[in-house]
Amino acid sequence: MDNELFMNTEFPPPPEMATHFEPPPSSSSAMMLNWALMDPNPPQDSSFLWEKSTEQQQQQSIFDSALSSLVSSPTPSNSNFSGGGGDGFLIRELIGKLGNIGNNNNNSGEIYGTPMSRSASCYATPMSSPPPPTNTNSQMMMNRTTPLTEFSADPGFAERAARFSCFGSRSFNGRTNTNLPINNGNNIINNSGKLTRVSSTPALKALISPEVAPGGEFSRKRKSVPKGKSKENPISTASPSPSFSKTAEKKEEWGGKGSKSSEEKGGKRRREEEDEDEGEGEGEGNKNNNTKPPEPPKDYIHVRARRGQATDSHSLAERVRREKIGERMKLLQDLVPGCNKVTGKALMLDEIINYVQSLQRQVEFLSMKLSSVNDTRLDFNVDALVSKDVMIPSSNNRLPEEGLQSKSSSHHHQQQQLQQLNIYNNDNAQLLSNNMMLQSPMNSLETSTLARGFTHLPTLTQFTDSISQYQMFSEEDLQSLVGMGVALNPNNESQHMKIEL
Amino acid sequence: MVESLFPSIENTSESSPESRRKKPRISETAEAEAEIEARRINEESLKRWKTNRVQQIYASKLVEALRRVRQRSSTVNETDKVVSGAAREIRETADRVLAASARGTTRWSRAILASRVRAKLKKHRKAKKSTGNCKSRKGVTEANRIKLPAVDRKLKILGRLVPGCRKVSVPNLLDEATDYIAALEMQVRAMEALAELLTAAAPRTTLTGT
Repeated sequence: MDNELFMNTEFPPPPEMATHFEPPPSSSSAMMLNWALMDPNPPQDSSFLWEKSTEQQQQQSIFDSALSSLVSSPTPSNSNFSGGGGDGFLIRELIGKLGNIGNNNNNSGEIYGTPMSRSASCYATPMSSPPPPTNTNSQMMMNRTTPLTEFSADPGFAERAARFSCFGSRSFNGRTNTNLPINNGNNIINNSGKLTRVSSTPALKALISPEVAPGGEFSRKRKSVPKGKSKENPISTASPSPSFSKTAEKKEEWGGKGSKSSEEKGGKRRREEEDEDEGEGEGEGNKNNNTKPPEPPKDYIHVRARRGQATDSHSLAERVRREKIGERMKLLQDLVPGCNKVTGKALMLDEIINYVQSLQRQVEFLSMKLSSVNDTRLDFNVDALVSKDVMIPSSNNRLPEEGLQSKSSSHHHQQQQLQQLNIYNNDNAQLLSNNMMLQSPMNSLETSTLARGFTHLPTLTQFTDSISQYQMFSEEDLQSLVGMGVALNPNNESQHMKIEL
Repeated sequence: MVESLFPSIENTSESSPESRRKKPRISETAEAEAEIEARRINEESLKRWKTNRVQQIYASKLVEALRRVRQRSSTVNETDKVVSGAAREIRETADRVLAASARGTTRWSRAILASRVRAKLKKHRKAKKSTGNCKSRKGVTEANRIKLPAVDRKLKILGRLVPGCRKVSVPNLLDEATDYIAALEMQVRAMEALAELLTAAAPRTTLTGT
């Protein structure tokens, strides 16, 4: 029936549009106002069409009621057709633009083309006809973007088209090529199981939920990532509830602003652009290749909306951001000991802060300790350490002076470096092997409270254990080394040490 | 000695269980590509702080720097050296060496190295005012205090702890913190090894006070 109607009328946009959209001062109709300002051909049969189309409005009553909240313009009147002549043109262009946004691949030429029938069928199918199989739907979807523009030709449908386009603006963001709002009927039946918790106002819910339901599955922003849903589901499980709540809030906001349909549209476009900018900035992390060929190659982050989640650009961007932060928190959790039991960002951050502070304090302690050690005997030790193969000699030249020769002589050493580096050249008779790991810890530990304190640092217990291993080395070896050490005296170091003496 | 110490650290449970844990975790969960990449990048950056080589490099550099500090201080009159002053110097030296080991890839390392330059410039200029960091800590006055959510407050604190990361975005801040923690751990390990060696070899008479 609609086909016939549209066949008859091959003219431009409905005068009703003008009547509708001229008066309304609200910005919601700003877009439509633009349309109204244009000057299409005055439709002659528009009234006829309108009356006929009103027959179908029974099914569209729901949309009308919903749209009435959106569109503040007065109900279409059949009276004034003259002034609306130019409006349809605008409307058609606008819808054409929407169609282009929605479907870049379709020819814009089709906007003004013939297939009223298609457009009619688009409206027809959701309304009355049973949903065709999804295959055909997908194909028709491609074509249906153009029909949007053609709707403007029919006065009654032009108004409906405008209303749909308002909704479509939102879903256009979500679905560029695939779904159209017009396919609600189809999608309702096809994807009834995938309703997203979407819109706010009950009036809009009927429209939006079917709209977004398929979108939840297929929706894709400009920055859409064709990830598998299965992949994302386990990831998203971590933050489904916060995302849900947030998106629900956002939908609420959307619904609250329901009256400003055109504003939504404009805002949507702006946000699209913003998202595009963000997307380019964020492109590194989530950039995946498109799966669907019709997707124009854009340099955005492609995020696939997961099943059962909202699809507007805000929530998608928000989800991407949350996931990034979540990843990093997980890494930190691995790094910071004791964070496994803690859940929640605040507590984990607490742990992380404590850990960083404790590490910094440890560094302070150790630097204090090193400073004290520096004062006494750093130099030759430093020389020893600098050379790669050297183990730190445990004795220094002052030992003999202080009568600790016997003690200091007990050191562990490595085999090969023994001859190489005899750092502790002393004038004294006692010479120590170069490659000493550590002195017997007992002495040092007894005397050095600091050393004891540090050995008990929690994070370094393993290290200290390893140190103690070296301390077990037999001391008898050291005595034998003493004699060997005498013969080998690197000149530099000996001089250096003498200076120290 | 240094090298032999560190391998033992390497083999201890600190690093290996973590790496072992990470690998199965990655393979098991069906992670998205981007997340796998991010995780891999982070792990690579973390693993670099755990390698033997890095620790050796750090230890040797630290030793050199300490020696230089000691020499410099020895030229100056040592008698009045305050322990805390020396400790601060050594800590700063150690931090600088750590930052140098990072090779300028991270923000905090650049901030550490830059701060020294800034300090030197200030010394030359004899400017007494410390700018920048000493702006009002709280952005809001007491009257208009807005209670930030707990998470945000903590993120701010974390930003203050990590050098040079006060006004950094949240994900970057977390990245920097990750790298900083790994670097700090390495620093602590190295300094402790060094201190242990030195104190073990130190003349115990000085410690015992004879």
